[in-house]
Amino acid sequence: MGKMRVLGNKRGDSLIYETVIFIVLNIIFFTIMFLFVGRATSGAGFLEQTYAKQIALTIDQARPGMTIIFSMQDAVNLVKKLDKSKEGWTNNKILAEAVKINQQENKVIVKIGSRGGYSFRYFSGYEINGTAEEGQFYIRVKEATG
Amino acid sequence: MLFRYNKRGGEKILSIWWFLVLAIVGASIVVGVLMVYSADVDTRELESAILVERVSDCIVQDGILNSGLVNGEKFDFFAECGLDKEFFEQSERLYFEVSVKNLSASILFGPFGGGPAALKKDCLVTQKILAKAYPKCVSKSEIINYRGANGRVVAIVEVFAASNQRGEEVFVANVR
Repeated sequence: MGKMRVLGNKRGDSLIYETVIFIVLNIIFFTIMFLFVGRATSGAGFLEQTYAKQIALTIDQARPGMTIIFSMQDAVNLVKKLDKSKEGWTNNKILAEAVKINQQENKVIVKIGSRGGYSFRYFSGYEINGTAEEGQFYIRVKEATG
Repeated sequence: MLFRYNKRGGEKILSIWWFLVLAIVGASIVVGVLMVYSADVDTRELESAILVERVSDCIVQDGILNSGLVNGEKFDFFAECGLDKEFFEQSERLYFEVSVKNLSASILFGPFGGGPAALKKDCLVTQKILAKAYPKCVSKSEIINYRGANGRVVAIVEVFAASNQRGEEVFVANVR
């Protein structure tokens, strides 16, 4: 009896399989779409590029003795939004991790998203010191010692 | 008759259309998002202008040419102007050139420069054709004085700079 029922239900089974596959494919498609759009619209990549270039070009214009202060609250807010584990971090800790100045390679690297960052090189030969203080990013320019 | 017995075939055709619609919608969203967010912040012209100002400020003070250029000494632009020599020698993305000319455009001193001179040639190409990947250039001319062997001389300083630096995305492992 049971065998008969299974054999007799072939068309119904294949219809269910088709529908399930169709729904699964739709779910996969929309999930990928929403992930892609969500990631792209976070704006992390654009903000990284903007800040890296802005900081590097400011360094290029700066003269020894100058201190430049960058208020990067929008970057800090975005880091907290994208990485929930950093919600309790202070602004200084977030900025210290997000902005790196590599003096050996004359590079400013800004990392806001989780996947990487953006780097831009400055041509200034002065000694550049970047630190996060009072929730802002400070750049101090000194005469090169080497 | 044909339509009545072809119901399941009709559903299949419908699902193919449905996937086609999904593909078109998906592709449109992807293209739209990419167009907006891959927008490059082009700072090459600004960087060239900064370099021109930086060099110009260090060789001319209050309209008087730096005596180091006039006396025939080996003038170290990198040390005098606070520029990183290694960067200009290695990056191949920035170039500057300085020349001092008399009022009839004959070169008195120079040209002196730093970085790959090929960038200047590329800039000359962009004056004739549109080439997005080629460098952006800025030049500045300034009338100056300097003390020559026979007294004060009026001349023109020309400073030229080219930049083709676009920046780059870095992966997590490279961020340090």
